[in-house]
Amino acid sequence: MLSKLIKIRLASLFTGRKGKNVKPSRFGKIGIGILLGFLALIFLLYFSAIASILAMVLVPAGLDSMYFGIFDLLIFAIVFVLSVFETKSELFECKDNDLLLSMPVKPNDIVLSRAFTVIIMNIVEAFFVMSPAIVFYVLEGGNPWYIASVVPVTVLLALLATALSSGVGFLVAKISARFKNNTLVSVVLTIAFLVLYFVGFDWLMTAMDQLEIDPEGAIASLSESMGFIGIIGDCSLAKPLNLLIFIVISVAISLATFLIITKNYFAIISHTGYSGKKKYVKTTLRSSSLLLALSKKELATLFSNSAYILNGGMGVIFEVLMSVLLLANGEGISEMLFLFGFGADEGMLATLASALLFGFASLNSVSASALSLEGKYFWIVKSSPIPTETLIYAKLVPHLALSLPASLVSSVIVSIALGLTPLWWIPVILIPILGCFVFAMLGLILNIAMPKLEFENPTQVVKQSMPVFLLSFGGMIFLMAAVAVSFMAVAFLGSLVTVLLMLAISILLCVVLYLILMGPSARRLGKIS
Amino acid sequence: MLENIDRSVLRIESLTKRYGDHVAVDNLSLSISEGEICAFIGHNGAGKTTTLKCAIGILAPDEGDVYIDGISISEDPLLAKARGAYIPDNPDLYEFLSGIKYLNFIADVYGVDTEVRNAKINDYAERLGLTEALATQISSYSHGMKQKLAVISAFLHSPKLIMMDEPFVGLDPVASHTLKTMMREHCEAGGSIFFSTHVLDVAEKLCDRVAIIKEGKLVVTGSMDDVRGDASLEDVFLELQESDENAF
Repeated sequence: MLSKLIKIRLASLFTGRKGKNVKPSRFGKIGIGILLGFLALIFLLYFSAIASILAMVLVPAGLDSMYFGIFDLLIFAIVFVLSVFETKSELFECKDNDLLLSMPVKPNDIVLSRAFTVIIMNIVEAFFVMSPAIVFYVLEGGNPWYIASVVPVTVLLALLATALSSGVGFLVAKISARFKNNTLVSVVLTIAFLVLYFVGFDWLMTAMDQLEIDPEGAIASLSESMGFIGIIGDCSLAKPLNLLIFIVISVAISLATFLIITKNYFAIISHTGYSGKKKYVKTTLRSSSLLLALSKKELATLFSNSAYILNGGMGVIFEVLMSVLLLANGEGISEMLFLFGFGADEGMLATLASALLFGFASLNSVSASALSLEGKYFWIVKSSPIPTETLIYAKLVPHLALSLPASLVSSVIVSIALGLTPLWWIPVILIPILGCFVFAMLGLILNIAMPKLEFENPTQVVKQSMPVFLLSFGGMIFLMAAVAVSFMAVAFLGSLVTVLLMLAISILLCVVLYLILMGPSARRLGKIS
Repeated sequence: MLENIDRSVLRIESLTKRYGDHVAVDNLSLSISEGEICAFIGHNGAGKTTTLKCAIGILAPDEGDVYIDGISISEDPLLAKARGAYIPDNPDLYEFLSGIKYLNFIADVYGVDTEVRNAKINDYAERLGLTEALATQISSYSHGMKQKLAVISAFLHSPKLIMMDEPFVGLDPVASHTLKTMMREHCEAGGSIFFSTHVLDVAEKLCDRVAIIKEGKLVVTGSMDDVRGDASLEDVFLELQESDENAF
């Protein structure tokens, strides 16, 4: 039974109604393939850069265990944060719950089959991060025993991260079940948890920066304060006892988590989410325009789903957090600019801030799943007299409703933090606002090109679908590129010209994307059924 | 002849719909006049749902066209859809909305006047026994309650044509009776109804016309009396399913 359930889960990952009248072109497939390859290359280069620095410093110093310890933590942190949103939906919110419960299927088979797909994806992600670490370790002439033990340790890390994310998903589901407003509870718990996570991640990044600037001091400090990194890193064939302990602990934690979930599984998934019967009091209904009615419906979709808010709007939270951090450490930017040989004049700061905040707008992926989330309700808009253009405008509303206020708040905070004069506030506010429109339209264009109208749970759409992936990861690359290019442009053209160019390019992007959205994308949307 | 065409609330002309190599609807032509209730019957997979979806513009036909109140669904889909309404076999309605918010949304989409929407929602909800549940989220509704809500939303803007796919499935006997009354009232007011069903007794008692589809082809269409003759509709249907030769 377990193997059959696993096959079904795997099949669901790779299937989904794309729209009966819309077939992806060969050109489109090749384009996506190239883009995915490019994204993979960028991330490999990123992890390679980290690995090369660490390997050069730690391996010659005989701190192999520290080297692998840091990578083990990095893998655990990345895999965990990538799977934590999806695990709750994957385990508890699949639409075949009722069907499986009605059949003679053991709950542990259901849990294991659903966890299996998450584990497989986590293992792939873990090896993606670990591969550069192995390469640079070999180049530094590392210990073969460590190399031989990388495979089991990486698999165990992925297993442990899955167990922890399942545990968090279980806790959120358990606590949410006690409250009427499940969405709000899920969002608050997850944000609280993420703040903790970012504190830990910030610590790791600071430690790495220190390693680069002052290796000996950083090693001494790390060894004293966080000796457990070395202990985790020592889980190798060179230290079989450590490896054995790690295996036992990982397997024990994973088993305990799955046993607890299995025991409570029926209670959680049979919780109906019944919001209680509200007494209807007759009131006079008010009419709205078509656009307003559709926009209200889109906003209701957004706020009804914690996964949608968290996955789609994570960039918004991140953007505001970053600007608040900048407010606290404003002088750090000037110091960094001096390190790169730039004078921290007002124009330079404003240009970089504009580019950075424009790039942050790409971290919001709400519009990239706006169409797919119509899913089983798509018949309503298809059978109603709704102009395609109006539907498109409404689909942009939730994205912009999250993005624009966050962008405005962040721009104002950043302008204050950098001590800009009112004239320089204009580009710092205007360019990121244009960025919000650019990425809202780009996300929707991608979603119309690659809709996924059938899914097991909404998380598969808001997190795993191709448009979200392309917008999120493409956005990160765009963010880095925007900052780097503006940095260079300021050096050659000066701040004012660069800012004006950025403004012109942003407006041009808006116009081009609008024309695509209202032209080919609107026609394509009309054909999707 | 021209007079007949003008009075057609639904006119399907040579409709063909293919899914890959499979022809789901094959050169189907059908016409329903003002004030008529027409039952659409056929075995599972015969092409009923596909025909209904093409008729309301959810699916684009490969060949042929559909006219709602004389307006082509392919040439002026918005106007044609505004004159029609559709209830699918499984009414998946926005579960994150309450019943009343859903109805208000539908009223906004069809531009129903504020006074009219208030009066109609109260009236239909009362008749179908849904008033108490209107403030509750649709996610808490049973299948039958969703069906009732879908029925109200279809009747809300007084369309010329209402198309329904298995509308009686999930309804309790009282609601089922109310729906039949509402359908008859709608037709008396000049509207028309085209619905698919497997309940032949209901079709026989309620409908003025019947259309029988087999493997995508319309094998019989006509007034109920002409089609069944002295036999029952069930006998006619069973006979048609067993034989490929149809003499109507």
